[in-house]
Amino acid sequence: MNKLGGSGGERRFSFFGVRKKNIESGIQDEYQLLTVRQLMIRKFLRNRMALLSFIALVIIYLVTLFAGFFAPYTARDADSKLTYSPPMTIRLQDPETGHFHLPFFYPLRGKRNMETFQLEYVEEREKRIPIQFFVKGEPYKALGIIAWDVHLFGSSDPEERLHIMGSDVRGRDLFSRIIYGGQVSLSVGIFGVLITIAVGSVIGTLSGYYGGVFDNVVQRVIETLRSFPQLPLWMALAAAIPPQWPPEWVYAGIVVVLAFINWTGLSREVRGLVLSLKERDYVHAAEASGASTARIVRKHLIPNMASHIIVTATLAVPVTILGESALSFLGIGVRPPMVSWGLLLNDAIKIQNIVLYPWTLFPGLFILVAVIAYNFLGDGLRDMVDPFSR
Amino acid sequence: MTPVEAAGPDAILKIRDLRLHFPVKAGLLKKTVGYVKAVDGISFDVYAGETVGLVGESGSGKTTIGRCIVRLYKPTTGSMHFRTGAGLVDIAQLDKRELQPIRRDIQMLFQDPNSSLNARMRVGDIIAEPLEIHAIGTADERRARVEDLLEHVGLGAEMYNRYPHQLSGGQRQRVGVARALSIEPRLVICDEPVSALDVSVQAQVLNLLADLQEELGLTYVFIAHDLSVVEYISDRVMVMYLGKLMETAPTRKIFERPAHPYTEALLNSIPKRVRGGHRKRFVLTGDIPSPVNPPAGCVFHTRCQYAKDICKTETPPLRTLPKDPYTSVACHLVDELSLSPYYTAAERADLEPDRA
Ligand SMILES: Nc1ncnc2c1ncn2[C@@H]1O[C@H](COP(=O)(O)OP(=O)(O)OP(=O)(O)O)[C@@H](O)[C@H]1O
Ligand code: SF4
Ligand SMILES: [Mg+2]
Repeated sequence: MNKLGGSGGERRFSFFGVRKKNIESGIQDEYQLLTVRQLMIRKFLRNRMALLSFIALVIIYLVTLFAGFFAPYTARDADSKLTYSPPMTIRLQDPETGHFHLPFFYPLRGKRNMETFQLEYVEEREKRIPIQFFVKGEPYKALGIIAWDVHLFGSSDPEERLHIMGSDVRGRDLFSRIIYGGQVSLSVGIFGVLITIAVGSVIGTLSGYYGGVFDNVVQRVIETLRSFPQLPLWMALAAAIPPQWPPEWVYAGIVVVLAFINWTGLSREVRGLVLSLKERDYVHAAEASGASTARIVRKHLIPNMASHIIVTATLAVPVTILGESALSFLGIGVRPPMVSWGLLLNDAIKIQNIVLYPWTLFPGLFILVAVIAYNFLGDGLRDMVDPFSR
Repeated sequence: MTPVEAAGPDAILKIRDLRLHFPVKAGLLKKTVGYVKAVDGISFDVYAGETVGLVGESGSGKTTIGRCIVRLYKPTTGSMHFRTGAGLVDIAQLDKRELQPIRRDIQMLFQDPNSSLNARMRVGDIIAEPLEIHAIGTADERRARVEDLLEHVGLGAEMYNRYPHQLSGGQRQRVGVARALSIEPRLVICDEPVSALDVSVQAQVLNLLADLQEELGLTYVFIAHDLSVVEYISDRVMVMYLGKLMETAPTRKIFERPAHPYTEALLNSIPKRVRGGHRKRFVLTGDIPSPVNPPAGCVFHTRCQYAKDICKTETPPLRTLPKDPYTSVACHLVDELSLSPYYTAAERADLEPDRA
């Protein structure tokens, strides 16, 4: 007998309700029928703006990915006869006769205004040029490997160029350049944020989990970095990129410069999450069972942090896109012959250009759309972070 | 043969002078400015197959003791000898690697199943986790064992693929029980396992724990903050206050003949279920003092209605009563006081005729 003063075998606690060993499955509503992933998807779909933004971003990314196909011209295809051409109107109806046709445009003819000495463009109404879909044009490499020369749309007459968003100082098609520029601007956002995630979450996890001297040093470094205003710091770092570097290196350099500050925000967020998650009882339970640190990080911390990281990362993409645009706009970002939205906007840096050639502001519109879409998307993802709230 | 002697060789855990002082850090340089004396010199034995209740107000250090035993914390000083196949081993200062085999024998059941189950894991994976960590069996064997356990705790094997949010509170705690038992521990620290549950399911979970104990020959350290829960499940009760033990005694004795003023106060805070005369009731007032600066002398003297001068200066040791070898009390006035019981032996006999 090793029980001290115990009442022995029969111990039935029936002070509340009836003793019952097998309880029914107990599902009360459909919320309980869904798995965690299903709950998250449901939450996301409920946010219309986020869904719309997501679709818009997918389209924009696809278009830039297949830039050669969607752009009627390549980014460097110049035409000295049509410099600073205004956007051409795509028509369906002949303004004189009122007849309807398949989409067409009238070519522009430049005429020097003898009072202002500006080149002014007028439509040549005699020449109706149909717009052709899947038109053969400039050869390009789809996805950088497959040589092809079919474009989604373009002028049916190779001699008469179509500029739906106008052209620049050397007669290059702005619409095509915007699509190619999107490749740089949008990928800077993605790559910058990938670096941010990698560096930010590793450092954040380490300083949250282990604390101590490492954490102390990291936190002081982050505070120092964050005490500088962001743009001047970016500018200083970007200016340090050697001018003799080839454009691809400069591009990589800019990505690193932009990630250089962004990781601090993510790392703080991750650190805070780890600090709170490691005090959860399920982590204690795993520790008490002898789980290794690697296992705890993999099975408990990462799955519970992933959605937070994705939200923070999503909201960091537009910041990076804006950063690249700002640097390129100021002439210290990516360098020609690369194109980016900020670099294109550089054409509008002089006020007189904005007055004379307002279409040079089009790239800004694309920046705006991308940034807003990312912000809405981030908002929608934030709702998903806590799938259990209703 | 007295039960204590008989139980002697059966002790599976012998704790001696256990202390855990959490450093309090302040200032820019994080200098240690003091210590939270969460557990401050505690000694007790746990015998194989019994249930020891550990009771005290919030902040008295119960959870901290539990976490020391499962070695989530490393005690500041003191020893914790645990009986293994190779005899008694002091687990107080073992490192991670040395602890690994011992962790199979000691598990913890947590208070709140909402926070002790990872919401992103399926129930089956939660229960299988300890088995996976110790690489027990093949994946199929583990699955079979988990399904068996699910049946055992009254859930049914079809719960394997559920997520915690798909279960009710009581069901979640059953998952917690299954996880704690999956690697067949011998000692389970139950840290207030029912206090986060609906009153209506508390009894079900307590019954489950009692059934499993009988079936598997488990030993429980059962933590609770009020004596009423402990009454039903414990063989013995240890009452603690501010990191120290005040009284340890068989459960019945605690309720019929409390020997420490703090025990009396805790009993008085339970709503009385039996009729009984009006008697002078000693109720606790004020808050538990800070464990950073515990009162000198008897730590309870600031709230004890019987306190005398000696209580403020001298710390009463925990002493076994000469007339009652199963009871130990830390009070200067233990021989003088006559404390009011929760119920008298007669009332008790009245209440549960089969037990008398
Ligand atoms: N990790 C920690 N660091 C510092 N102080 C702590 C820590 N954990 C607990 N304490 C302190 O130690 C004391 C005892 O805490 P503990 O959680 O063991 O009490 P408890 O008896 O379990 O109370 P409850 O009934 O509220 O669960 C408290 O004063 C608490 O603030
Ligand atoms: S030692 Fe004194 S203060 Fe402490 S419990 Fe006993 S009577 Fe009260
Ligand atoms: Mg506790």
